[in-house]
Amino acid sequence: MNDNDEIIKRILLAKEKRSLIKERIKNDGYASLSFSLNIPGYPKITKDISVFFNIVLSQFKIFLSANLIEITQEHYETDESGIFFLSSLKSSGSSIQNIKQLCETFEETHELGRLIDIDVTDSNGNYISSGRNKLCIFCKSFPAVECMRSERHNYSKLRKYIFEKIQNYLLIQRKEKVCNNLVSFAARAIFYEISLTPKPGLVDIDNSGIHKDMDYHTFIDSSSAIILYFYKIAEKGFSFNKSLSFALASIRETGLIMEKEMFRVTNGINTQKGIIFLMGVAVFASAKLIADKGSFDLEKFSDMTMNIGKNILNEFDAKSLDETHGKICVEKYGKHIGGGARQEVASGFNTAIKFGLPMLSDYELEKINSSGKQKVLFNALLLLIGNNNDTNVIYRSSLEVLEKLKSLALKTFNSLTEDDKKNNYKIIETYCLENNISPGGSADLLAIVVFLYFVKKTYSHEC
Amino acid sequence: MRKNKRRTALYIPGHNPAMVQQGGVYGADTVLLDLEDSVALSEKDAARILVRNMIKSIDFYNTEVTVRINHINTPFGLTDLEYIVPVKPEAIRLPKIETKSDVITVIEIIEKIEKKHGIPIGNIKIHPMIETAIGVQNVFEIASAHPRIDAITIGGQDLTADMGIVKTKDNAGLDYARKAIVMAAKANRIDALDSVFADVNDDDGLRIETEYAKKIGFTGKAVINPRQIDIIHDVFNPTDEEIRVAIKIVKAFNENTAKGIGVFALDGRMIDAPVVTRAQHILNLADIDIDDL
Repeated sequence: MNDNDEIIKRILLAKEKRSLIKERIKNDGYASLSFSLNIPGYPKITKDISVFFNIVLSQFKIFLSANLIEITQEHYETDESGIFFLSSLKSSGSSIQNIKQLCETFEETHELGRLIDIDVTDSNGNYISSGRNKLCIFCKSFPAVECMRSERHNYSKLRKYIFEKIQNYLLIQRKEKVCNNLVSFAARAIFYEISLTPKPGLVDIDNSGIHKDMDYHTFIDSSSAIILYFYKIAEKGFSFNKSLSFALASIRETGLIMEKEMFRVTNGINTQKGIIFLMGVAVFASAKLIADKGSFDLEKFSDMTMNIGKNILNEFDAKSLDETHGKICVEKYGKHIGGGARQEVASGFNTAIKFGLPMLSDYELEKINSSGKQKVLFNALLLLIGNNNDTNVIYRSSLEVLEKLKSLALKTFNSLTEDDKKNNYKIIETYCLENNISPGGSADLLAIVVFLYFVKKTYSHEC
Repeated sequence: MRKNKRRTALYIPGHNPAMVQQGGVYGADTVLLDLEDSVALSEKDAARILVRNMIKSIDFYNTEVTVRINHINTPFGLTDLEYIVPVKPEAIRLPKIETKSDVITVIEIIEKIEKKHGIPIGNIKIHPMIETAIGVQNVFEIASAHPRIDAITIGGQDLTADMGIVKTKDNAGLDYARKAIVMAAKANRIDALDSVFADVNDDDGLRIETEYAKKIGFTGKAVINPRQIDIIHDVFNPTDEEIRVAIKIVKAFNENTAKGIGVFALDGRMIDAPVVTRAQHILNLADIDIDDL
């Protein structure tokens, strides 16, 4: 017996096994529903095929639930003739004919529906047919069954065509999932930061610090207005295939729309210009990294953002640049003072990664309650304030005031007891109010730190 | 009492149990248990615990035990101190000190921890590292910031990076910094310790660099590999001739002091306090106690 005969024998055995299961369900008096893929040729299973199968099967199950069709006794088999799902149908409001029609609708509306094969069998074991024939996925001119039986198309061409379709489909699925995740992490990060209370001189839940023109809800409003745009930025990052020197303009295109939205909902108040920019770059770079490398790595992230920000510091010389706190400080003190959103990007998010992120790394943030989270984030914020040349502070005061604030923050961070910490914190709070300063740049970095924490946790080991 | 020798300070990564355990057997004058740059972020906690436990339980055979902690403005500095101070290492090395207040801040924290644990205040010495241009400019202030400071050291790798220069074999770019650090140490009568020599396979280079360090006034040098210890000791050890002369000087000094004479002549040379101090230092390095002779 040659290899081919051996394969055919094994496929037949597998089909036999499937019939037996169907038989069993029939004997129990149930109708059944089977779900499989039409993959011509051999092998019937590859890594892509099994991933694709699982995605579509879970979509199908959701579709059944949505249509109030209940299934039980699920069998999931992988064998020589491919992956195969079979379940019995609990009686439902729909007639068996109706269920068959719904399944056909699922096949017809799915973009790769021609690869999907859903069979419905009634409780006597008879196939339910709708009398319609699916067209061949390849030539789209003849019924698929005809092309298959007459072997009209070359198998290897056919397989190549199908595998490409599956691959593209998986890529789009993955892209959507990654972009969804990144937006939800960005949202989480921004809301965590806004909600952290207390924050010295800054807007928190309890008070507005030194800011007379905004409060907690102003931030909720502007965050809600900008958040979905990060999906666009993530998509751009995921599919970006030009030189990184063009990335910044691409991020900015969306960023400028976000700023407009922010100003619209806050009636012209700048709540989040800094975070729009920083988070924009972070989301873009994370998406690109996950798309290119299949996983997230801090060092690569840092390098990539450095490359994105390669010429960013020269922008300060541009006439057209709008006035940011960073720009005003650079004009006053020179580029070497660091700080500011642009410098943070140019340094590959050095302050966030070096000082903020390690504070969170020891914790399972998802598993600790609100007050626990606040404690961790509060410490991270103190450390960021202590190490960041925050241009929000400098532009309202001076380098001396900034240095004093930094040392107060470090002193508070390094308090040995909770009581010391409370007392030291009061000093910072008073100092911010007296000098009319608020470390908004450090608060932005805290949001970046939270974002990176979740991205790293989720995508460190993906392949 | 151990003689105060710090010719070599052997860096040992704090997360490496085998090396920490062996720390005392290599024959360096000081072991430098590191929690900072040689330890990856993910290993910080493990290193801290290991170093604390090892100091408590391991015999370092008369080797001075020093711990380099993380900077107090990083997430790890304070926790390092809370772990390390209670086990009373002889000294704590502080990376990247730039101002007097940097040192004072840390010392205040150490004192709080000492009080909390009922440890005598002031026994743990402090060794600030000068690793930035600002630190070099403030080095005298730093060296004289507090009585606990009994050595000051240079961090060559970080300093070249901070200065934006490339480290060359002759260390030309660091020359000013090294001399400034030595001078601040001498002015405060404390030790000056030189940076590591990175190429562990270049014995000749190590010897040349150590000879230069000794010539400009350093009293010791950091080591990253035990192989480097003997060469450095060889350079810093006094010669037989130096020892002979030193014995003579100290003996004569003791005799004259007993008679109430402060300054005297020996072999046609004027002998006063600084000469005697230097002679005494040579005897210390040679492990010679004049009373035993």
